[in-house]
Amino acid sequence: MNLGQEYLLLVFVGCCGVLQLAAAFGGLKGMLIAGDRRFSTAVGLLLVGGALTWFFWEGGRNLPDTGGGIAGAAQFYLFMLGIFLALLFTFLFTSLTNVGRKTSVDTSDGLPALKETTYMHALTRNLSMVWKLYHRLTRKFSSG
Amino acid sequence: MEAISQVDSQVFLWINGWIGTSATFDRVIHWVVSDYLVPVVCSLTLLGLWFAWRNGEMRERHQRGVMLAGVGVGLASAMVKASNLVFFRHRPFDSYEIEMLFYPPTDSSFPANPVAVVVAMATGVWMANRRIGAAMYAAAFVYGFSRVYAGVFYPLDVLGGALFGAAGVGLAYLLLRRIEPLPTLALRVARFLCVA
Repeated sequence: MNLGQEYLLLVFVGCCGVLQLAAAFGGLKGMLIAGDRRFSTAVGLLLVGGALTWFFWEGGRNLPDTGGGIAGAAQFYLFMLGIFLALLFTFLFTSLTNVGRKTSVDTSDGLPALKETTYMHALTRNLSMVWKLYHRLTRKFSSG
Repeated sequence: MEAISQVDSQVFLWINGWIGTSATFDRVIHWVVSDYLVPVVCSLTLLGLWFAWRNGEMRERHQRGVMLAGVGVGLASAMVKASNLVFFRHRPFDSYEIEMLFYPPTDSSFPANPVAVVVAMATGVWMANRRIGAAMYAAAFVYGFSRVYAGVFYPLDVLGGALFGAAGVGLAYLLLRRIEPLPTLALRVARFLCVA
């Protein structure tokens, strides 16, 4: 792996850990990898600490971008990619592990819905509401 | 101006002169000064703030703070780039025979771009959450100090970087207020997609 790939892995694992910590803090049970908040907090700390320890084990990785280092703009793009992948992984994985959660929840306010249900359920419910609204507004009436 | 520059150089040489006194401290600085450690930790903190809240009011405040920090980082970086086009200051290692704990960068010494970015993040967060913002300011201070100690910047470059970072967030605040209701609309879209 080159430094860019290792950086992406650091960000991905670190973000997964932070998402678990944040979900445990805010009580977003539908975003926890397991139903237990304490277990998810421990997993979150382990992921963040482990990723940082692994990446910086041999020092600060102080390389110029002309000699194998990562330029500022590339760091930004890799970080954004890492966040996107971590969100995707967390939402998909936790939607599978929490599949039995409640389905009759108000999902219109966004993230708070994840206190009761999973991400995939909240998103599909919101999308289906928009789809129904679109059909109602564009329905063609017959003049008879 | 000459006198200020001389004092700046004297303070730099005094701080940088401590290299080699403690191998453990140098080792710690070698980590802290990295292009990755402090920026990654601060960015992870922003991500955490976006998702971590206990009530609606706290959620709104945190997410607007993260938005402010993000736009502030962009504006601060643009201001640093613009400054580099009209003003170039040589690095300390160009003028003095010094010990270094970092690679020798080739861009302008003033203002310190990495410090501007971290201070912009800290300022955005401070507007939303004083305690976490203060912790991030402390991280920015340590980061700036490590860069001077490692021989990469003069103290005035770090101070300049911090001012650029804070000014970037100030401008971002005005900009986001000016383009309202776009930020609110962006939050609503994010809420519809269940990511806010």
